[in-house]
Amino acid sequence: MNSTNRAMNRLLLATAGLVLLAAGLLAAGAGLVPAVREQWNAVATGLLERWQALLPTAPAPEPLGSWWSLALPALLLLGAAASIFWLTRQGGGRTGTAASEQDPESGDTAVDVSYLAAAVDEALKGNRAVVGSSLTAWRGRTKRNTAPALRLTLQARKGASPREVADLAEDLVGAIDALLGHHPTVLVRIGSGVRTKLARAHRAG
Amino acid sequence: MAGGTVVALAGAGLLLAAVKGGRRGRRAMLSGRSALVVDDETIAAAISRKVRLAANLAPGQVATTVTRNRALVHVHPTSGMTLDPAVLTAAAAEEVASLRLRKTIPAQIRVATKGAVGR
Repeated sequence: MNSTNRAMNRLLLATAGLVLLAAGLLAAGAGLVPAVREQWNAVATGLLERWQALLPTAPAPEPLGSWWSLALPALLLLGAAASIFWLTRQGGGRTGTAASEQDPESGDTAVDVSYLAAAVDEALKGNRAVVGSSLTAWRGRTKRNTAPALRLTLQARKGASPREVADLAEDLVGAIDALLGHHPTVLVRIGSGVRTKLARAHRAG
Repeated sequence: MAGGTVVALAGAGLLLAAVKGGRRGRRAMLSGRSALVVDDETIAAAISRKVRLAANLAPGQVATTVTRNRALVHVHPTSGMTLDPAVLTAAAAEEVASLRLRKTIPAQIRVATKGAVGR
Protein backbone atom coordinates (compact mmCIF):
# COMPACT_ATOMS: atom_id res chain seq x y z
CA MET A 1 0.00 0.00 0.00
CA ASN A 2 2.98 2.34 0.18
CA SER A 3 5.66 3.15 -2.33
CA THR A 4 8.50 1.28 -0.64
CA ASN A 5 10.45 -0.57 -3.31
CA ARG A 6 11.17 -3.79 -1.48
CA ALA A 7 13.11 -5.56 -4.23
CA MET A 8 15.40 -2.55 -4.71
CA ASN A 9 15.92 -2.22 -0.95
CA ARG A 10 16.88 -5.88 -0.66
CA LEU A 11 19.26 -5.49 -3.59
CA LEU A 12 20.93 -2.43 -2.05
CA LEU A 13 21.22 -4.23 1.28
CA ALA A 14 22.76 -7.31 -0.36
CA THR A 15 25.20 -5.17 -2.35
CA ALA A 16 26.28 -3.26 0.75
CA GLY A 17 26.66 -6.57 2.60
CA LEU A 18 28.79 -8.08 -0.17
CA VAL A 19 31.04 -5.00 -0.37
CA LEU A 20 31.54 -4.94 3.39
CA LEU A 21 32.14 -8.68 3.50
CA ALA A 22 34.74 -8.50 0.72
CA ALA A 23 36.47 -5.48 2.30
CA GLY A 24 36.53 -7.15 5.70
CA LEU A 25 37.84 -10.46 4.37
CA LEU A 26 40.50 -8.63 2.38
CA ALA A 27 41.59 -6.61 5.42
CA ALA A 28 41.66 -9.70 7.62
CA GLY A 29 43.48 -11.63 4.88
CA ALA A 30 46.08 -8.89 4.53
CA GLY A 31 46.83 -9.27 8.21
CA LEU A 32 47.07 -13.05 8.11
CA VAL A 33 48.34 -14.17 4.69
CA PRO A 34 51.60 -12.64 3.38
CA ALA A 35 50.65 -13.28 -0.25
CA VAL A 36 47.47 -11.25 0.11
CA ARG A 37 49.44 -8.49 1.84
CA GLU A 38 51.95 -8.26 -1.00
CA GLN A 39 49.24 -8.27 -3.61
CA TRP A 40 47.39 -5.55 -1.70
CA ASN A 41 50.55 -3.47 -1.43
CA ALA A 42 51.16 -3.74 -5.16
CA VAL A 43 47.57 -2.81 -6.06
CA ALA A 44 47.48 0.07 -3.57
CA THR A 45 50.79 1.48 -4.81
CA GLY A 46 49.60 1.22 -8.40
CA LEU A 47 46.36 3.03 -7.61
CA LEU A 48 48.18 5.76 -5.70
CA GLU A 49 50.56 6.34 -8.62
CA ARG A 50 47.69 6.61 -11.06
CA TRP A 51 45.94 9.05 -8.76
CA GLN A 52 49.06 11.21 -8.55
CA ALA A 53 49.40 11.09 -12.32
CA LEU A 54 45.77 12.16 -12.66
CA LEU A 55 46.08 15.20 -10.38
CA PRO A 56 47.99 17.54 -12.78
CA THR A 57 45.54 16.90 -15.64
CA ALA A 58 43.06 19.36 -14.10
CA PRO A 59 45.05 21.99 -12.21
CA ALA A 60 43.19 24.33 -9.89
CA PRO A 61 44.16 27.44 -7.83
CA GLU A 62 46.66 26.77 -5.10
CA PRO A 63 44.84 25.79 -1.86
CA LEU A 64 43.13 23.06 -3.89
CA GLY A 65 45.93 21.95 -6.23
CA SER A 66 43.72 19.91 -8.55
CA TRP A 67 40.04 19.70 -9.37
CA TRP A 68 40.33 15.96 -8.93
CA SER A 69 40.88 16.34 -5.18
CA LEU A 70 37.58 18.22 -5.09
CA ALA A 71 35.82 15.61 -7.21
CA LEU A 72 36.38 12.84 -4.68
CA PRO A 73 34.56 14.47 -1.70
CA ALA A 74 31.95 15.80 -4.12
CA LEU A 75 31.27 12.25 -5.27
CA LEU A 76 30.89 11.07 -1.67
CA LEU A 77 28.57 13.99 -0.92
CA LEU A 78 26.51 13.09 -3.98
CA GLY A 79 26.26 9.53 -2.71
CA ALA A 80 25.07 10.78 0.68
CA ALA A 81 22.48 13.02 -1.00
CA ALA A 82 21.25 10.09 -3.09
CA SER A 83 20.92 7.99 0.07
CA ILE A 84 18.89 10.71 1.80
CA PHE A 85 16.69 11.02 -1.28
CA TRP A 86 16.16 7.25 -1.25
CA LEU A 87 15.32 7.39 2.45
CA THR A 88 12.62 10.00 1.95
CA ARG A 89 11.10 7.97 -0.87
CA GLN A 90 10.24 5.09 1.50
CA GLY A 91 6.78 4.56 2.88
CA GLY A 92 4.06 7.05 2.17
CA GLY A 93 0.73 6.24 0.59
CA ARG A 94 -1.40 7.41 3.49
CA THR A 95 -4.52 9.29 2.54
CA GLY A 96 -7.28 11.10 4.36
CA THR A 97 -10.06 9.68 2.22
CA ALA A 98 -11.53 6.39 3.35
CA ALA A 99 -13.79 5.96 0.35
CA SER A 100 -14.92 7.94 -2.65
CA GLU A 101 -17.48 7.55 -5.37
CA GLN A 102 -18.02 9.41 -8.60
CA ASP A 103 -21.52 9.78 -9.93
CA PRO A 104 -22.30 11.93 -12.97
CA GLU A 105 -25.72 12.88 -11.62
CA SER A 106 -25.35 13.36 -7.90
CA GLY A 107 -21.69 14.42 -8.01
CA ASP A 108 -18.62 13.13 -6.22
CA THR A 109 -18.75 11.78 -2.68
CA ALA A 110 -15.74 11.32 -0.43
CA VAL A 111 -15.76 9.94 3.09
CA ASP A 112 -13.06 11.34 5.34
CA VAL A 113 -11.29 8.71 7.41
CA SER A 114 -11.58 10.87 10.53
CA TYR A 115 -15.34 10.36 10.41
CA LEU A 116 -14.91 6.59 10.57
CA ALA A 117 -12.17 6.93 13.19
CA ALA A 118 -14.50 8.98 15.40
CA ALA A 119 -17.24 6.37 14.94
CA VAL A 120 -14.84 3.58 15.96
CA ASP A 121 -13.71 5.60 18.98
CA GLU A 122 -17.31 6.15 20.00
CA ALA A 123 -18.14 2.45 19.60
CA LEU A 124 -15.20 1.47 21.79
CA LYS A 125 -16.04 3.88 24.59
CA GLY A 126 -16.32 2.03 27.89
CA ASN A 127 -14.88 -1.17 26.46
CA ARG A 128 -12.75 -3.03 28.98
CA ALA A 129 -10.54 -4.95 26.58
CA VAL A 130 -9.49 -2.09 24.30
CA VAL A 131 -7.73 1.02 25.59
CA GLY A 132 -7.10 2.83 22.33
CA SER A 133 -7.73 2.67 18.61
CA SER A 134 -6.63 4.27 15.40
CA LEU A 135 -8.03 4.06 11.90
CA THR A 136 -6.03 5.17 8.88
CA ALA A 137 -6.61 4.95 5.15
CA TRP A 138 -3.99 4.02 2.56
CA ARG A 139 -3.93 4.34 -1.21
CA GLY A 140 -4.22 1.14 -3.18
CA ARG A 141 -0.81 -0.14 -4.26
CA THR A 142 -1.72 -1.45 -7.66
CA LYS A 143 -2.89 0.57 -10.63
CA ARG A 144 -5.93 -1.62 -11.04
CA ASN A 145 -7.15 -1.35 -7.48
CA THR A 146 -7.00 2.31 -6.48
CA ALA A 147 -9.71 2.12 -3.82
CA PRO A 148 -8.31 3.10 -0.41
CA ALA A 149 -7.64 0.32 2.08
CA LEU A 150 -8.14 0.76 5.81
CA ARG A 151 -5.90 -0.11 8.72
CA LEU A 152 -7.53 -0.50 12.10
CA THR A 153 -5.18 -0.69 15.07
CA LEU A 154 -6.62 -1.70 18.43
CA GLN A 155 -4.53 -1.37 21.56
CA ALA A 156 -5.48 -4.22 23.84
CA ARG A 157 -5.48 -3.87 27.58
CA LYS A 158 -2.63 -5.81 29.16
CA GLY A 159 -3.87 -9.37 29.59
CA ALA A 160 -6.94 -9.00 27.40
CA SER A 161 -7.64 -11.99 25.20
CA PRO A 162 -6.67 -11.18 21.59
CA ARG A 163 -9.56 -13.31 20.31
CA GLU A 164 -12.02 -11.22 22.27
CA VAL A 165 -10.51 -8.09 20.72
CA ALA A 166 -10.52 -9.76 17.29
CA ASP A 167 -14.23 -10.49 17.53
CA LEU A 168 -14.78 -6.88 18.48
CA ALA A 169 -12.73 -5.77 15.47
CA GLU A 170 -14.84 -7.99 13.25
CA ASP A 171 -17.97 -6.23 14.51
CA LEU A 172 -16.35 -2.83 13.93
CA VAL A 173 -15.36 -3.75 10.38
CA GLY A 174 -18.91 -4.93 9.76
CA ALA A 175 -20.20 -1.58 10.97
CA ILE A 176 -17.74 0.26 8.70
CA ASP A 177 -18.94 -1.87 5.77
CA ALA A 178 -22.49 -0.85 6.59
CA LEU A 179 -21.53 2.84 6.82
CA LEU A 180 -19.65 2.88 3.52
CA GLY A 181 -21.95 0.55 1.62
CA HIS A 182 -19.09 -1.55 0.26
CA HIS A 183 -16.34 -3.83 1.59
CA PRO A 184 -12.97 -2.10 1.61
CA THR A 185 -9.76 -4.03 2.22
CA VAL A 186 -9.07 -3.90 5.96
CA LEU A 187 -5.98 -4.77 7.94
CA VAL A 188 -6.64 -5.17 11.66
CA ARG A 189 -3.71 -5.07 14.04
CA ILE A 190 -4.14 -5.98 17.67
CA GLY A 191 -1.21 -4.66 19.58
CA SER A 192 0.00 -2.76 22.51
CA GLY A 193 0.93 0.86 22.67
CA VAL A 194 1.68 3.58 25.15
CA ARG A 195 -1.86 3.39 26.47
CA THR A 196 -1.50 -0.33 27.19
CA LYS A 197 1.47 0.43 29.42
CA LEU A 198 -0.30 3.29 31.19
CA ALA A 199 -3.69 1.65 31.66
CA ARG A 200 -4.10 -0.77 34.53
CA ALA A 201 -4.00 -4.46 33.80
CA HIS A 202 -7.15 -6.51 33.50
CA ARG A 203 -8.60 -7.21 36.93
CA ALA A 204 -9.01 -10.80 37.94
CA GLY A 205 -12.50 -12.04 37.37
CA MET B 1 42.93 -7.84 11.28
CA ALA B 2 40.37 -7.57 14.06
CA GLY B 3 38.86 -4.57 12.30
CA GLY B 4 38.62 -6.55 9.08
CA THR B 5 36.84 -9.39 10.87
CA VAL B 6 34.33 -6.97 12.38
CA VAL B 7 33.64 -5.38 9.00
CA ALA B 8 33.26 -8.81 7.38
CA LEU B 9 30.82 -9.88 10.09
CA ALA B 10 28.79 -6.70 9.62
CA GLY B 11 28.71 -7.39 5.90
CA ALA B 12 27.58 -10.97 6.47
CA GLY B 13 24.86 -9.64 8.77
CA LEU B 14 23.59 -7.23 6.11
CA LEU B 15 23.68 -9.98 3.50
CA LEU B 16 21.67 -12.24 5.77
CA ALA B 17 19.15 -9.48 6.44
CA ALA B 18 18.76 -9.03 2.69
CA VAL B 19 18.02 -12.70 2.10
CA LYS B 20 16.00 -13.61 5.19
CA GLY B 21 12.39 -12.69 5.77
CA GLY B 22 11.65 -9.72 7.99
CA ARG B 23 10.63 -10.25 11.59
CA ARG B 24 8.14 -7.98 13.25
CA GLY B 25 7.00 -9.93 16.28
CA ARG B 26 3.48 -10.29 14.96
CA ARG B 27 1.45 -13.18 13.64
CA ALA B 28 -1.72 -13.72 11.70
CA MET B 29 -5.01 -14.81 13.23
CA LEU B 30 -7.83 -16.44 11.32
CA SER B 31 -10.52 -14.04 10.24
CA GLY B 32 -13.35 -14.30 7.79
CA ARG B 33 -13.49 -10.66 6.76
CA SER B 34 -10.19 -8.86 7.14
CA ALA B 35 -6.47 -9.42 7.43
CA LEU B 36 -5.85 -9.81 11.15
CA VAL B 37 -2.50 -9.64 12.89
CA VAL B 38 -1.69 -9.66 16.57
CA ASP B 39 1.47 -8.58 18.38
CA ASP B 40 3.42 -11.33 20.15
CA GLU B 41 3.51 -9.12 23.23
CA THR B 42 -0.28 -9.09 23.41
CA ILE B 43 -0.44 -12.88 23.09
CA ALA B 44 2.14 -13.20 25.87
CA ALA B 45 0.15 -10.93 28.19
CA ALA B 46 -3.03 -12.92 27.57
CA ILE B 47 -1.32 -16.26 28.25
CA SER B 48 0.28 -14.87 31.41
CA ARG B 49 -3.06 -13.71 32.71
CA LYS B 50 -4.80 -16.99 31.96
CA VAL B 51 -2.09 -19.07 33.65
CA ARG B 52 -1.96 -16.69 36.59
CA LEU B 53 -5.69 -17.00 37.17
CA ALA B 54 -5.60 -20.78 36.76
CA ALA B 55 -2.84 -21.11 39.36
CA ASN B 56 -4.18 -18.39 41.62
CA LEU B 57 -0.95 -16.43 41.62
CA ALA B 58 -0.17 -12.76 42.14
CA PRO B 59 0.66 -10.49 39.19
CA GLY B 60 4.34 -10.73 38.37
CA GLN B 61 4.66 -14.41 39.23
CA VAL B 62 4.00 -15.44 35.65
CA ALA B 63 6.01 -14.10 32.71
CA THR B 64 5.54 -15.25 29.13
CA THR B 65 7.75 -14.71 26.12
CA VAL B 66 6.48 -15.52 22.67
CA THR B 67 9.25 -16.41 20.25
CA ARG B 68 9.04 -17.31 16.60
CA ASN B 69 7.64 -20.79 17.13
CA ARG B 70 6.63 -21.20 20.76
CA ALA B 71 5.33 -19.52 23.87
CA LEU B 72 7.51 -19.95 26.93
CA VAL B 73 5.71 -19.45 30.23
CA HIS B 74 7.86 -18.88 33.32
CA VAL B 75 6.02 -19.47 36.56
CA HIS B 76 7.40 -18.37 39.90
CA PRO B 77 5.38 -20.29 42.52
CA THR B 78 4.63 -19.10 46.04
CA SER B 79 6.90 -20.75 48.62
CA GLY B 80 5.35 -23.84 50.18
CA MET B 81 2.62 -24.17 47.55
CA THR B 82 2.97 -26.91 45.00
CA LEU B 83 1.64 -26.16 41.54
CA ASP B 84 0.18 -28.77 39.26
CA PRO B 85 2.02 -28.37 35.94
CA ALA B 86 -0.83 -30.11 34.12
CA VAL B 87 -3.25 -27.34 35.16
CA LEU B 88 -0.84 -24.63 34.04
CA THR B 89 -0.15 -26.35 30.72
CA ALA B 90 -3.86 -26.82 30.10
CA ALA B 91 -4.56 -23.15 30.85
CA ALA B 92 -1.82 -21.95 28.51
CA ALA B 93 -2.82 -24.38 25.76
CA GLU B 94 -6.46 -23.33 26.08
CA GLU B 95 -5.56 -19.66 25.67
CA VAL B 96 -3.38 -20.35 22.62
CA ALA B 97 -6.10 -22.51 21.07
CA SER B 98 -8.74 -19.85 21.69
CA LEU B 99 -6.70 -17.34 19.65
CA ARG B 100 -7.15 -19.38 16.46
CA LEU B 101 -3.79 -18.36 15.04
CA ARG B 102 -3.14 -19.14 11.42
CA LYS B 103 -0.18 -21.22 12.54
CA THR B 104 -0.57 -22.37 16.11
CA ILE B 105 2.32 -22.34 18.56
CA PRO B 106 3.00 -24.78 21.41
CA ALA B 107 3.08 -23.38 24.94
CA GLN B 108 5.76 -24.59 27.31
CA ILE B 109 5.62 -24.15 31.06
CA ARG B 110 8.72 -23.68 33.19
CA VAL B 111 8.12 -23.68 36.92
CA ALA B 112 10.95 -22.06 38.85
CA THR B 113 12.48 -24.21 41.59
CA LYS B 114 12.80 -21.28 43.94
CA GLY B 115 9.55 -19.91 45.30
CA ALA B 116 8.47 -16.35 45.98
CA VAL B 117 7.99 -15.50 49.66
CA GLY B 118 4.90 -13.94 51.17
CA ARG B 119 2.59 -13.63 48.24
